[in-house]
Amino acid sequence: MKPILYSLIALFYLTTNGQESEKKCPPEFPYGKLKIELFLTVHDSKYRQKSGTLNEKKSQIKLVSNLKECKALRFYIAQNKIYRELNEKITDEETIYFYKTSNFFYVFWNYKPEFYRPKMGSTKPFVVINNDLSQSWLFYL
Amino acid sequence: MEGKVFRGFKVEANEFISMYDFESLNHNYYVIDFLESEGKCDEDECPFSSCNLCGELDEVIITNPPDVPIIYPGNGGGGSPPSGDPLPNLPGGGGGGANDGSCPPGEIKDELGNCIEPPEDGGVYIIGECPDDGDDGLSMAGVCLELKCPDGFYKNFEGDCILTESCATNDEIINSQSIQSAFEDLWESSGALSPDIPMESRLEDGGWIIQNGGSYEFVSFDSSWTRTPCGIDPPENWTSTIPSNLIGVVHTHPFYLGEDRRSICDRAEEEYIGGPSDEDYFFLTQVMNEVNDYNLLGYIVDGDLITSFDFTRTINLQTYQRCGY
Repeated sequence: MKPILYSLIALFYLTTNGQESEKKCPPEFPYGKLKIELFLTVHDSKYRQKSGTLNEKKSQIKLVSNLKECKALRFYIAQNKIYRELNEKITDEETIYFYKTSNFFYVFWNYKPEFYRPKMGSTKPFVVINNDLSQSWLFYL
Repeated sequence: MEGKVFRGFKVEANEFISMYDFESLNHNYYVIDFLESEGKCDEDECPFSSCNLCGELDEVIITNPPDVPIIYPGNGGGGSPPSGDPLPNLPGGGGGGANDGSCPPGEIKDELGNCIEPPEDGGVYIIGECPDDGDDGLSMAGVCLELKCPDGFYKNFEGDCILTESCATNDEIINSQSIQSAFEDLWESSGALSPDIPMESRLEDGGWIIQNGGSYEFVSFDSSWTRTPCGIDPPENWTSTIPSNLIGVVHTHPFYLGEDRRSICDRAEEEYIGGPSDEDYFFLTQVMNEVNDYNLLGYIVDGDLITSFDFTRTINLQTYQRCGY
């Protein structure tokens, strides 16, 4: 009887905690705004031409904190096979990050702030999504 | 010339004898053309007379013949193609020899059947058996060969043998003999001397570039820094290991352009394209903040390129053909 009870408690804990994180917007990444600024200003302009972000301004960069927008972005990621697979690969120490400018959202994955410190590493996926969630582009930065 | 072509020259006594073009298809090499030296073209003094490629060839100056850039399934002394093979006839001499599997790898049989080291004057001979997976093997007429680059050359992802050049860039740090030597050591410790080496056995490695007086020195990252094929993770107290007189930071990407790293690096792109990642840039900026010096340079050393970058991330980014290692 006890093992079953423990299993149920564990399942309840995992489920509710999982839902809890889904109800919140992701935190701010230590270099988050700089990362978006790099994309909008100094990375290959072909990326901006392709995604239509040429006219986005770095002064517009904001963390996404609106719960509806976060929920919509999570749903969008979950519905896309490539992004869903990328999202499923994150470890317990990592999280997804959401940023926005006037007409676009920016999504990437990295360590949670509490686990993050600068380290050398390979390029990582960076998704640009237009604000009506009808189109997206995947880059590696 | 177009496509993935490996060109081999046969040189004897510093004189050009012949040239072979090998086409790479999935890392297998096929002789696609063979040209003998018979004089000079009238029109443009191409050294390969009968060649219909004269108009497509750049000037070829041979100053120091590579040791053994040519591999061909010879049939003993002459190196002629097996009967019925669609390959053109090849000249005799300059190697030949065959390994029917009874000789150790890297040795060939001479005309008496003895296993001998292949000649060093360039030539055409069998150097080994195909690996089990057939990768980088040349299989012709039932004979398996393996392409290996001679000393002074490295093999890129396409399987071409590229001459290792000494550095003559507009960056005096890269040109420094001590830094070239450090790059060579770093590349060796990264375990990526050839694209044939499994990615899981390679490691990023790196260190600090410091300036003492007029000379540059290299100091390796502390051994407590975690090295993997896809990154270097400093320990929590990493800032205490930054040396004084720092002018730059270098680390390797143990990959060749075009390699697919997805099996080894989480969420990596399909083809390695070189240069620093955002993470590499964030690390450099953190070092800049720690030492309060925004003139520091970052260097990436990989299988094809040396890339330098600074606080502008990409604006002042410079790429140089691999040199010094």
